[in-house]
Amino acid sequence: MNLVLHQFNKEFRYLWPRWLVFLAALLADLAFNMEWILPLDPEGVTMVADMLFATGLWIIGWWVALSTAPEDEAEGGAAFVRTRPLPRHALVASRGLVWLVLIMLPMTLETGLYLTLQHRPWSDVGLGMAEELWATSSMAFWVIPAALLFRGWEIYMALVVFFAVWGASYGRTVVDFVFEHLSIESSWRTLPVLEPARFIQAAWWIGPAMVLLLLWHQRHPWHVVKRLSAFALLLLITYGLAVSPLAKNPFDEPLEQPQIQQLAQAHTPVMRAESFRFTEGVDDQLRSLLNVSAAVEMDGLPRDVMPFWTSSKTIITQNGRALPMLPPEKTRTNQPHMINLWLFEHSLSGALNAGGREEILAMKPMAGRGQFPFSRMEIPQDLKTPVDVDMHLTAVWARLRELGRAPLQAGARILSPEAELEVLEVRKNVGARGESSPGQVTLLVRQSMRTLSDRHAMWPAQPLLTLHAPGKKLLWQNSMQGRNDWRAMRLGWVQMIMEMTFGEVLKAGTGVTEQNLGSQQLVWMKPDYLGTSRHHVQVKDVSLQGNGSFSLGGLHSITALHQRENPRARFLAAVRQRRAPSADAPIEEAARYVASVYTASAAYDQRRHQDPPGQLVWPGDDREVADLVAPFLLKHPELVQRLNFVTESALSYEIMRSALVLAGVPGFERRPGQPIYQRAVVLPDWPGATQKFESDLWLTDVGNERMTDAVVEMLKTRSDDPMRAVLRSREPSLEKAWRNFSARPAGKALRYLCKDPAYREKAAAEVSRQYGGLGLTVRFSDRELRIIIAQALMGDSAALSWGLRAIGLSREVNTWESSALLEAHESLFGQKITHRQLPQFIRDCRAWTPESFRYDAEKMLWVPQANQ
Amino acid sequence: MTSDTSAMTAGRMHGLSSVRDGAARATLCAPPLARLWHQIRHEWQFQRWLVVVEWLLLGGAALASMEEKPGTLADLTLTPAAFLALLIIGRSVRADAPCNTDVMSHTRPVGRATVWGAKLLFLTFTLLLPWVLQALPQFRGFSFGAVEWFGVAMGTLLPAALLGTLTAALLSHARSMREGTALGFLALVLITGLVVATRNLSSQRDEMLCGAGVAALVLILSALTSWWLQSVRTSRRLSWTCLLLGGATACALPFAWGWDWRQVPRLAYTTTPLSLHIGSAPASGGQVLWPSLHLVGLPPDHVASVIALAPVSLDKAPWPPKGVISSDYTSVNTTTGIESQLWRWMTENHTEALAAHYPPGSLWLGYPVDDPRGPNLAGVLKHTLKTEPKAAEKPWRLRVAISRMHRVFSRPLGEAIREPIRVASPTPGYRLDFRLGMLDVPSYGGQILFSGTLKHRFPLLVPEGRRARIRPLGYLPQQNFMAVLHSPALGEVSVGQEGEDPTSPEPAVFLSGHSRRANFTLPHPRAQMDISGLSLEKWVSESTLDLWWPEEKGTLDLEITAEQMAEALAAENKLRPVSR
Repeated sequence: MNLVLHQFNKEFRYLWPRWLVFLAALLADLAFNMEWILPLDPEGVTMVADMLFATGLWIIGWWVALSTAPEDEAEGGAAFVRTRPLPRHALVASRGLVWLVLIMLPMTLETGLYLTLQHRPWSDVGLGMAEELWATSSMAFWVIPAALLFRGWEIYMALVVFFAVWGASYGRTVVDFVFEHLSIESSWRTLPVLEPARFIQAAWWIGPAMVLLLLWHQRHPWHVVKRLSAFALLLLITYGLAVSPLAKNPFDEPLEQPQIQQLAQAHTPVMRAESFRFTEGVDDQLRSLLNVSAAVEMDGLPRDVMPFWTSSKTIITQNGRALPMLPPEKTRTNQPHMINLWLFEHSLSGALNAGGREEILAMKPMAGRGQFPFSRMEIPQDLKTPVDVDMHLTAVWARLRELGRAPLQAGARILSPEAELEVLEVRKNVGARGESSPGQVTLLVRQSMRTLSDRHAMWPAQPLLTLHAPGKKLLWQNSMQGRNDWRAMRLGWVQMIMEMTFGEVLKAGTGVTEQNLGSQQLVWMKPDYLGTSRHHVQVKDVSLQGNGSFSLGGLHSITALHQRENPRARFLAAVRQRRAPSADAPIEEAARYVASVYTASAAYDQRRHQDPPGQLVWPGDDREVADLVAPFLLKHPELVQRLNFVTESALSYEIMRSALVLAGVPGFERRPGQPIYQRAVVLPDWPGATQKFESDLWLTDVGNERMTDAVVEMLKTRSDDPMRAVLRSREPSLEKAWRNFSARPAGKALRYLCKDPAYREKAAAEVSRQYGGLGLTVRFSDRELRIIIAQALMGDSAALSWGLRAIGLSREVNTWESSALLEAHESLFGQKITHRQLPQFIRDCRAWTPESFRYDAEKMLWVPQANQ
Repeated sequence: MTSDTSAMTAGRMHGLSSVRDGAARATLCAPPLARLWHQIRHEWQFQRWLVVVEWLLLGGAALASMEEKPGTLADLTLTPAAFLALLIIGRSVRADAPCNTDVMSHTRPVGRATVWGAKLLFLTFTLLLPWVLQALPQFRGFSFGAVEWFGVAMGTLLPAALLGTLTAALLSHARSMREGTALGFLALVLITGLVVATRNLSSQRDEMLCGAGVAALVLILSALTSWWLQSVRTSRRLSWTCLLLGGATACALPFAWGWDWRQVPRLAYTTTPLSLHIGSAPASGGQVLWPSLHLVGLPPDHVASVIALAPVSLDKAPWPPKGVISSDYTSVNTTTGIESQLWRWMTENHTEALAAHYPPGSLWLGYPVDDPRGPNLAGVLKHTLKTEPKAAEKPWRLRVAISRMHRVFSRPLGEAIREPIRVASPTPGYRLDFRLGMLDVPSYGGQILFSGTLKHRFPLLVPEGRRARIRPLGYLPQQNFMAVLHSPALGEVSVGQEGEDPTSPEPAVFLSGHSRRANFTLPHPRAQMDISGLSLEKWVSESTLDLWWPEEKGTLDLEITAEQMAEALAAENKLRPVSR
């Protein structure tokens, strides 16, 4: 031991000036992390400075540890050492002592001092020091052999290699390049400063290889280029291991895995065919693909736990043949660090709802439909045949834990054992970039979080700051994060300052004003990773179209020319300009002409534009165009079956009516308005008695196919018998209505079904099920609003309240939103209103509560209390 | 050749052995060029394997840069190539540095000046020129002329020469490996600093750019001189002084430089006289700016884009005022007043200008695009009144930018979908690379998708052309192009839709560069396919794909009196749809 200490003393006599440089760097690092220099500033140096200080400290530490006295340098140090009465193990031990005493201990003491100065509990100070000791000791295997492998100027080359591979991004670039070509999954977030535990593990695993390299070099000396290359390779392998799935963070361990297993076994996940969506997208290589998403239902779960779903394997078969799947998105994995991303897409209000389920609703920018993106597939040739889906699902379970609440005021603080938050500034009507932005509220907050590995406050999921308006019981989540700066990521207690912006806070309907902003609340929540469960689900007969998937058959192009002029007149002119075939032209020629009319119709789509909703900007109809086309349908009735009913149904019905009038089919006349069939038929069995038929041509319940067949028959026979046959067959079918209702619940259909006791029960259960699956937000698609309205029609006052709050927060009345709101009014109150009355309806909804109405169970309507 | 003579004397004084003496005498007596060649061969023998690796890396980088997405592979090859080049320079300089006590450079019988000259030539031909050559292929297809190619060569050569000479000058001062290592580090730090300082030169003023170019040249010359002084004259103090003086001058030059050779005259439109017509469309034809305001006198294929329409103040206030709402190039948030540049500034007017190139009566199809021109004249006046209450009583000025549409590509669709295509824009420095992405994208009734990338590369040391590019309201307009598909059998002309994608900067020291994804789609003739049974193959074989690209022709100001403005507003009111 004396020899070891003796050698250490000799080393120290040479190293002490360099060690002072290291101590100075350590002091500067402490001063930086304590904000004695360069205090936190959102417009300042950002996280790069923190990374630079950490990297710089490590580089200087390595420099000291690799430095050796000049007399040890000649012939790789062998010449001098051989002549001294010093065993080799004592030399190695003294190098170890250099690392331990000169580097490890000061860095550990810095951690302890920092945590003490930050007033962390003694248990955290001890743990922080132990973790720093563990991190620095992982490098012992590297620096001790490296000090004997590289001498003199070589150590600077080694430092350059170390910096290039670990400090700069070159190592990461190489690892990503290799992993991508070998299709190995890598953690895109992993960087030494963010997840040091992974790198420490990898350094422990690969460190012994450095010892082997040294032993090899001593028996078969290598040129410096070979040694540096081997060193770089080992560093790259370590980096690769660190970002691979083999390395784990301690904080990625689940908190309640056994309970989650039990929970998962007790509840079976259900995926319904109608919940699948196939939307078009492109991958990194710009190849078109289909994104497959769906909702997973799991009834009876405790309110406070949330499963987030991914698919580890998806097989989609069509007619028994497996369709080609594509690799999932790189940023979508089943790792617990995805929890923050999932929470961004889901309402957080469930965690705050202590009273009723719908008590607090989220002001999310997007509707929370509970859809999860599962897989990606090549676009199949056959998009009409349904597919079967076989999925191996992984559920990552999380629970939101409230860290604390504070009023929305400057100076407000939230303190918890693992994280602290202080509001430094509240900026009203200011956006994320400091610009004037009506309605937005930007906060400047300071956050401090525990980053020790046993209970890490930042990973795998970061705390979420939300804004709660108790008056209207609304919750703003997904703040937009602006400029930020942070310190001391590696020291166990990170400090950061950041700007967070909440949109649409100070707006009509929210109840939040500039005056009462201070009485709103900030709620800070921490998502805890509970565990992971695996499931297998099979779903049959899934449609690749519909339910929000992309649709086929539409004509979406519009003209590039003359948009500023009257498009209705332009459409007619364009059709007249086309060279029409002769009356006796063959069907191919006639078909080309009819098709060109449809192309022109899509091109002049602006003629159908409404502003305000319900009022045509360019009044008129397409009757003259229909009259130009009708003779060709009369000549070739089969063409009716090729007409477009997806996006051009209005034109198609107009053309069919013109053809029927031209053919002289009884019951059809040239009159203004919608195409109508009107006929009184003498009943042969009842002399003198007549039966009246009256219907428009828009028989959506009949289906286009049957309707066009009937029109073809009428054109051929010049008789209206086929039309009457269709009308007679239109007996209302509960079964059909039920099928439509379960896919698309609507108030009118619900009332119809509820007339039958058996269907009433089924419909109520279906509405309740779909209602239970809704995200707790006030931002909806029209389908989701219909579900809430349907639940309200079952007499649920909470659903009525939800519907009124959602309508009261409707943003702008556009054509799509307005039709849903008009329908909602009619469904709830049994009265139609016009577009002009909509703004007042929205304003009324802000004031109305369920108490403003009574429920008429017989009519399934809500009646204003004043009408009692 | 004083230094050569002194080297010979030094050789004699050291007393060479008889055999070596003979060889040395032979070398000393050889003509200077032979000695130079001898030293170059000596350098090659010493460094050949490293140089071969360097060439392989540079070749890889050149190949990677020609790929559609160079990305990682180019990074992986070019970074080690740069470090290897510095290592080769370091080894070469250190091998014969007079102050390097580890080598006997004074006893070399070729003379110090020859050694120095040979090293310079060796490094120039083995490192510098290959470095410049590897960078050139990526600049093909950008419509560059001789001036631009000269700028590209200089833009690549100057930074490389700067890094090389700086490294050589610093390392020539190292007396030992320890000093060599320290100075090597210093060189790395200086290089990193220079790269960081000059990375965003493209966003700087032109004077500063020119100054930076001159500064680079000064620094290269001072580093070369410093290296020469140290290696040939062995004057350490003078060498350091030269390097430091050069460095100080180079630091000050970008800020003090006054001559902007990049400045070129503004491009004013003078091709034809233009005038405004107020009221409904004139019988003689003209371009519609607003329904009641037409521009008359434009030659075929020429299109006007509105830069600003705003009242003119009698005081000397700058025109156009801030927050102009009528520009095709910007959009203004009416609530916040924040102005932002629009990426797509081409309007329906550009499509109309192409109509003459296709059969009359063709049905023109396209996709819905937001009209960048903003509100009608009444809306413009209403917005202007907020900041200029007397706008209605003042004269107005209309500034337009005229561009000419060029057909830069025309090929049958069947050919266009077969292979990757590269198209140069009429404006030097832009190139569109595209290829078939998918023939049958099922959404929106069926579309054909072309995957494209719009690239920009331009040397910053030469003017951007013979005339300055138009900068409406201070913004350099984004490059827009128009894909047009003509199907004569159907009598249809379809205009492609281009998706908006952010531009990714690819900065270099004296070169500006960026690229953006420029995918475009063209609609299938869905109605013809559904109703008349037209097949995709038949449609492809009967159609032609054209690409049209606007070329800037200049700007023009047109004055409008208060009375004319009132007349235009009244006329617009009459032309509105009934229900509005």
